Amino acid sequence: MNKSMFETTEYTSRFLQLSEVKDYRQLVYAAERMYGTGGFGNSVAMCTALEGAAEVVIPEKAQYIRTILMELSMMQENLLRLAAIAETLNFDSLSMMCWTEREKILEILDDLTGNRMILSMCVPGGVRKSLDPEILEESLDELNVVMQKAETIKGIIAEDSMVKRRLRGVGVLAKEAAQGSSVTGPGAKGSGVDIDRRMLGEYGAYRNLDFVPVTETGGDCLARCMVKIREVIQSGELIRKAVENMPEGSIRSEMPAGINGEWIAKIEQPDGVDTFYISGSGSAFLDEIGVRTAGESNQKIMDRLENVTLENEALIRLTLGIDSCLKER
Amino acid sequence: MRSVAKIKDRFKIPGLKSLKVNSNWVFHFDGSGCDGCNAEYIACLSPGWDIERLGFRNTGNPSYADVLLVTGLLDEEAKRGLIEVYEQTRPDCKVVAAGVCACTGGLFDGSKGILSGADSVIPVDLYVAGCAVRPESIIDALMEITGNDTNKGTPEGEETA
Amino acid sequence: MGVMKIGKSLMNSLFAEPETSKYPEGGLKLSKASRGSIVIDEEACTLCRLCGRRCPSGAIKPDRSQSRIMIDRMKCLVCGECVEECPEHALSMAREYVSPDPSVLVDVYRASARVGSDSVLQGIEMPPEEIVSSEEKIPAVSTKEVQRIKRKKKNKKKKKKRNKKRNKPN
Repeated sequence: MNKSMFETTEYTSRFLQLSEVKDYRQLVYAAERMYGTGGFGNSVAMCTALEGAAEVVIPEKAQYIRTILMELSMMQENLLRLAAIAETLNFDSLSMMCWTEREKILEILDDLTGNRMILSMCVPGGVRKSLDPEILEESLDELNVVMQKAETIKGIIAEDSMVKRRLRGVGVLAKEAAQGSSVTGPGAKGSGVDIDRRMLGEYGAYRNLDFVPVTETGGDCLARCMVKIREVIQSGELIRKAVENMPEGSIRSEMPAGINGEWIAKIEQPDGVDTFYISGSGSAFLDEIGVRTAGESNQKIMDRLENVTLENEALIRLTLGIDSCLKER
Repeated sequence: MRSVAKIKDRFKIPGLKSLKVNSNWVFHFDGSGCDGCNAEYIACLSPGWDIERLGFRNTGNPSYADVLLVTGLLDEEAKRGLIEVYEQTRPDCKVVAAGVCACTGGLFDGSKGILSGADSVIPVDLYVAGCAVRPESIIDALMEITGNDTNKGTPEGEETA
Repeated sequence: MGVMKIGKSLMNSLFAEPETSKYPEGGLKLSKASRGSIVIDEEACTLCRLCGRRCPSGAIKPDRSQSRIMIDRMKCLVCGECVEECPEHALSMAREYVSPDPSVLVDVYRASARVGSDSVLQGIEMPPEEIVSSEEKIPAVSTKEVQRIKRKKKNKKKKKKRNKKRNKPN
């Protein structure tokens, strides 16, 4: 779905109508299908908001499993964005390389959970099933192959002269302008601002895995593409650390029958920060839901950029994370 | 391709049957869906599954198309677009509805402004289930609708880990 | 010189194994945890209707008056909520997916395990030999011969409209 403001409000009103008929456990499936390629992240956000409103603490093993699946999902979405950018440049070889690597990650997800993109593994209170340890070991071996190819792709983006001629110096966003605005994700990281919602530790097991957000100076489209491919490599290392340190225990805790309270949950997606707001007053049917995606908040920066011409506009919008890349067809 | 289509329609030369079976152009229409089924169809064109070796090719002009593939949810705006596209297709073009939202409306059936499936707008020849629809299902549907009967593997084939 | 930086990986892919999966000729490969379709064990179901309340899209519909359960295959999201909810463990997830079909498939299963028989509910006590066994009363259909109701196609009117525009006979 197009993440511009108009369609997000259309989706939110569709979501609100469903909340009159379906209770909060069934709404998690509707939140997952908000955009299908990043579905797992949205279900984590909605479950975090529901658990916060009901004041329920989920076990540690469930947080680790959510982290592993979330990083895998972010890897495949970053590769999808890179493939779309390469296709806009008419660089078909690089685009096909990215699609091929994405298929290998989807096979790993298929072996672990049963479905490729829309996983249905996150429920309020924890995770539905635990991951088989033998299959996890084999997937780590396949991840090594993907990481080697990702290094090759990083070398091509950084040094190929066709890519540099089209992307260098295009859509420059200065550091001071990015700091005071509502831009998050690769738009801010490409200009040197190091904000990352995963560092706050509200969801997932990121507190125990030390990492530093990826930043680049430069502020143009080339820097943002480098941020995306370096995040793919960083996600692979995070997955390896999480598999080594996974604790034992239960995977699900009990939730009450009705939700009483309100909560806001924000998570980090490849395009920026997604926000979910929930409010209920005692019954299983929620009162109010609000959703805002990253594309809506990133769009406001387009007025302040200089030198936006007809040939550059598609590239700038794709790298900043405003447009979903599959609606161009 | 337009002249070949006219030859296929009018003359019905028996030797041209292999063209009808082995070479088909596909037009993909997406309503306001979630992009899940959209991404799976585009993954079919990537080197991972590669439907071009089976004879299918993606096109941007509905009057050249042999198969019209509909995915995603349909609301009022998409209905106008779908009728415009459908009126430009040839009479022997087949329609395939892929994914649960295009067949019956899926999870969002009953909401205001959502049509319950593509068959409330245009006649549909084949329904494919799944959320999101698997690439194997799309390949099964395309082979069946065009009469291509390459050997289909049994479900108890090789198993992965 | 960065003009053909991609040349090295292109030459490697000329001589390496192809990455394409040969789907129809090579056979279908499904993983162990794959979610394909829902299957009902007819002898264990007691028609408590908990699965119908839990389904997010309303695809599974138990019917107590006619002792049957209908599953709309083109609406089922294969999420697995009904499998978790059933107290008798009568529902299970099969690995094979539903094949494409020219009409909207609705599968009908008959529940043969009932709680109590009609004679006890009416207050008449019958001697044991005269109670009709449940197998004779409701013919149990095995899962291989599941009935399929096909919805009528609504496209006859549209076909006439479409052919009228092109001035062709029906």
